[in-house]
Amino acid sequence: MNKVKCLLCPRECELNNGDRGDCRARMNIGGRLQTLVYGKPCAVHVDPIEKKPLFHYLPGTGSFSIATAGCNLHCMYCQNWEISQGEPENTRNIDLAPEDVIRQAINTNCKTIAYTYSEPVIFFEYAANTARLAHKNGIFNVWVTALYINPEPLKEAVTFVDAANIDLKGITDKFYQTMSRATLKPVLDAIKIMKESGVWIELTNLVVPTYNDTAEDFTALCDWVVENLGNEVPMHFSRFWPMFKLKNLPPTPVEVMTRARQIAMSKGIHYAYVGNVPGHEGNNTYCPVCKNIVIARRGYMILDYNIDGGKCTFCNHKIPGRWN
Amino acid sequence: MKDRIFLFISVVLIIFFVAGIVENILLLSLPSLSGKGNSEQASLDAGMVEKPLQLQPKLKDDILTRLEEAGLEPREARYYRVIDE
Repeated sequence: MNKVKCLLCPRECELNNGDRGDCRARMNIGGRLQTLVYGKPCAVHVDPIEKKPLFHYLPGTGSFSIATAGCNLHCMYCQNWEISQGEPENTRNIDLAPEDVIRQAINTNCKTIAYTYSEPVIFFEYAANTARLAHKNGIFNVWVTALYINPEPLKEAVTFVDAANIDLKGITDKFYQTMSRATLKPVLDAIKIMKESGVWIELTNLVVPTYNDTAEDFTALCDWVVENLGNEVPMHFSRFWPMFKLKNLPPTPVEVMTRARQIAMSKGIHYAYVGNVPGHEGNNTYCPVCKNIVIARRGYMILDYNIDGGKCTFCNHKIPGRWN
Repeated sequence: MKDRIFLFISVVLIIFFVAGIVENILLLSLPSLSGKGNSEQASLDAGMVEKPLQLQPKLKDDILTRLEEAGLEPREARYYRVIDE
């Protein structure tokens, strides 16, 4: 039987007959690469889009969220490790063809379908077919992703992904290798391609004590963002909570989260947020010109909304994003 | 008499202890006999390795059966290349 080489992600697994890729969702069966998870999500929920987090994309709307088992990264802090590090035959899956996803998204009044929780890259075929059908029905597509993907499939993905929250886990190769058994450069390249393609992107950086929580880490990360993506890409600093293989660490101190946001703003990033700290001032969106709160939030909940026609209602400054 | 009883109980306990160790060694070295719990643990550990799994023929059959039993319906993926050998 033929050996195959998967070209979906930078791992490029070479698989003999019966072998499974590092993601555990793709397998060489009879000399052909097969996806094991098409139409078989193991997680299906309706979430506020703020949970992704996407703060500048259709705020206050529901997002029909799906995931399958498997992931091409192995993050030590993964909060969804039961599904991301599991095998599809060991998770509780449901039959949900792309047509069913669309039907349920419409029934639940969701404006978007989110491909999330684990990693949409590894269920590419399912996500692609669902997304194209979503567009035909006036529904937008959102990826929540580490974006560890090769350029060719990425060029296809940007034709059906409308918005993405990209997990930029750190800014050193050492961090990616240590924490996720991956490499940094393909992620940085992919982020630039996605941004240049016109997909609305927001970044998330999970701040892990002792791993990526120094002022130097935040500075280097923000410098790269400003230099390569500009200062209008929203940046979410997310508080770590002990999970999976890092239960020995404490939650990130709130003052560290505050410092991360301050460094981002000092570097010129207009929209720097603090996540997983309800009530923090970094939950809100501020107009960079008049400094008023244009969207007040507590966690995922919107408390006040001062954007009209994509502009700050106080000073008329254009706030980037898709607002309706 | 007490000494003999104590000696007898000690010998029995040692036999049980050694038997337990031997049983564990046997079960760990024979995945097909190790039961669901160990099998699942092994599969989780396998998912952590850097390189793709290199499966033994018996295990391949097990996995294909498990896929079928789990209701998975493999379909051809995109973005791959066949390597002729």
